[in-house]
Amino acid sequence: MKLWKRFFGLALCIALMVSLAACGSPSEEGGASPDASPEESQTPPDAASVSGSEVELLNVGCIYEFDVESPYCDLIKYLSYDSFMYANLVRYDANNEVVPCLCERYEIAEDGTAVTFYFKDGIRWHDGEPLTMEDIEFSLNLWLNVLKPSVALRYMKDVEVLDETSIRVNMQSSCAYVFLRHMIMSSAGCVIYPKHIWEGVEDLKSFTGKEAMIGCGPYVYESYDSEAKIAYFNRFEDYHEGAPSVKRIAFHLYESPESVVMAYKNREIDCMFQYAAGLAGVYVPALQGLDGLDIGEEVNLGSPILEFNFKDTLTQDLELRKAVYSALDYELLAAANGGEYCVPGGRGVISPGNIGYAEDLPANCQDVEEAKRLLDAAGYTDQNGDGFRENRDGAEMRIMVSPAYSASKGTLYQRLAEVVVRDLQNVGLNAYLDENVSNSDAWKARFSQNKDFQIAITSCSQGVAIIDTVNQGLVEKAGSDGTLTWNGTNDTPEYVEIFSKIIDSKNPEEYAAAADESQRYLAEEMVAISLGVESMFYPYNIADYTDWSFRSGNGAFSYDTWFTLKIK
Amino acid sequence: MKGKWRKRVWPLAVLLLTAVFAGQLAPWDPWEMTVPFLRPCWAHPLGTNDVGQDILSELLYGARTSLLVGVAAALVTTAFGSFFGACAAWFGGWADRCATVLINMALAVPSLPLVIVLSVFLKRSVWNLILCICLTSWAGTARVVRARAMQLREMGFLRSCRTMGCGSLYTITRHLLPNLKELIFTKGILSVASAILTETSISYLGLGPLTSKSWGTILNDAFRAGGILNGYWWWYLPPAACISLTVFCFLSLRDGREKKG
Repeated sequence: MKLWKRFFGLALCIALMVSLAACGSPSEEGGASPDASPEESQTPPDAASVSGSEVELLNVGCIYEFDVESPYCDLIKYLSYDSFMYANLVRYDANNEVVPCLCERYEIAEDGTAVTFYFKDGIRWHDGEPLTMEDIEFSLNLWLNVLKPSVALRYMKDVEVLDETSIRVNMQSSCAYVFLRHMIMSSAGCVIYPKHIWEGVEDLKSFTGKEAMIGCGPYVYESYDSEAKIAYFNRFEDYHEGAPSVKRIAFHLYESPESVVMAYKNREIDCMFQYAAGLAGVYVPALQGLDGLDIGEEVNLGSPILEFNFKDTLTQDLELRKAVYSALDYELLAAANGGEYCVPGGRGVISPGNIGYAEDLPANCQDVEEAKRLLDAAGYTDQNGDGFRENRDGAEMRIMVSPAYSASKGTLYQRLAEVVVRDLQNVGLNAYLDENVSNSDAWKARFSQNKDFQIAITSCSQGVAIIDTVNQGLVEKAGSDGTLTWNGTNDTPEYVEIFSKIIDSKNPEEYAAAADESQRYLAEEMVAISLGVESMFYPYNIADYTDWSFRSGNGAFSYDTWFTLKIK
Repeated sequence: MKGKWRKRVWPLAVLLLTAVFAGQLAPWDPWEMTVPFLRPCWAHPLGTNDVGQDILSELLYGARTSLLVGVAAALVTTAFGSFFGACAAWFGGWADRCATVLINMALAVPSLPLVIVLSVFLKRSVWNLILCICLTSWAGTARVVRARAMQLREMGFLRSCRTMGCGSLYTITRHLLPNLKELIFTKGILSVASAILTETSISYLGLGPLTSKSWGTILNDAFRAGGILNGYWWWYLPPAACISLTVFCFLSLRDGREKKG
């Protein structure tokens, strides 16, 4: 009897594993799953009924929390980057260039130390009250004096109301243009507040509810269904740029990208919103068979990078950095990063698609012999015959490779670090994985406070890449008055000067030229190395809707889409 | 009975040999990076992962980590838990009351979350993982051993020991614990299975050792690289099967021992 029980137990285990296997969709071309022929099982999204050419309800998937009814809500914070419910003074257009949003136009002072915003009459809050310059002044002063985000502290000096339709923001230095780029994606809570509601509020974070959700963006908060985890928003009929063509938007909140993929398969959502983080290439096979869905490929404007510590005597050496550059297997790094949807990055770190990207620089390419030659020529040779090179003075040389700690991407960084360690060992460099960074505090201490890493495997986020280029994370200080501190370790005067040109650029042309120059410097001096240029995917419904608009790197759920989308 | 016992032991013996001779059995160095995302083929019977490492070789080396963690953690927790429980029962009085409070407190804390928290704050190595598991899983054995030792303490042979003036340590180690060996063995076997599951869970969560292969790490890699959604069964099914079968083998060993006893 016992024997039978055991057989039964074993059979049950096998059955469970087989069911697990069945959960994964077949990867063969086309597949034979029901998903391959969605028209058979597909029921039209019940809420996507039509009224003329306007969209009644757009279902959007995302991986955020709707934790609180206030500007500090996780979902609202990221939607604010696109001026969804709380409108920004300016926003990014399709190519991530700054264009007016709440303001009608803006003017940057010739010396770049001030920016003046001009507004139309008749702009209203969601509760019907008119927007005034006092609202803008009140909000920006909240940023400066209460919220104290790095953007305000780094750039802003004070705010002056000029008249009933214009306001001037004075800067700490001549960085007005980059301030505009930066303020669009500022910290949580940094929105334009209605003064008549928030004036008496002492603790901004604890003030929640419908009143706290009043903004002047194109969408008005309706409700949040906590059981179904869906947040509903209606269009603002009195929006100053006209009412959007999408009447209602429902954000379906999920826990993971896998859940979003399943939602696409079940036709629960029409598109997705995820700031700077679309679906990774590994999910594409699961989505490709779905009819009526464009997988929405976008190039990630940021990228994983290998960063050298310029405070470390070994990695300060340009010859060593160049040898590391030649030693790496970029094809494998790209495969580990995004499978077939990632390609080796280019010299100069900056990814294609960014403003000022220098197209003529070559793609990264492994050359092991060149790496060995550079190391030999620089005097890093194996003197004791243990297979690893020693320092020039004969002392033992070890290179620590530290993968960044990240809840979402930590495993990827570890993977990339494994490849880097292997490649460095292949050219005789005694590299090893840093095992001491197992939480965010340890990483922060290693990377930002003590700066005791040698090689870090981290990334330049898409936001940083858009705002003021990857250099922000590599340079130590910059800016015309030299007071602006940044996140990196490199304080080489030449590099500081180049980044200062980016920060002090007065217009898009100057910014693009400075970005181009910085990329050439990065390529020459090997301050950091791009570990791949990956595609991200923001699938969108082309069966039912047409006239989607896109923002580079952020997919189809864009500010413009809310006004252009139509029923097919 | 001996034949049945052998039947239960040989799968574990095979596993142990696999772990010991992983270096000889594995067709590739599990750290060697070749062509990524290969399907099963002659060169790579279970294909390759996202950085081109041979999954079969990873699996064989993974047995080493799982068994090392499972057996080492079980040895320590069983030895400490048994001794602690036996001492508590033998000395009785305030010592027993203190020990009981300590055991109850340790049992009240959910062990897996605690191991996760500890793993986050320690250097990521196999020995630290073993330490975390030991710190969180000794109490079950201690409680069971204490309860049984309380019964034995009143038995004649132990009373005689006490009357003859035998020392406490001598009595506990020479008379009390040897009479609990069946119970301790059973708890030990359970601890191995439990430690293996904990190790794979921690590694699956991406908190395992960075420099050793583990079945949990293989599952984590497969999950992260879309292996499950895209149906790469050769990637995630073998480690899942290995974990299940290993735990099953240990549990069946315990059942056999109980029956034999």
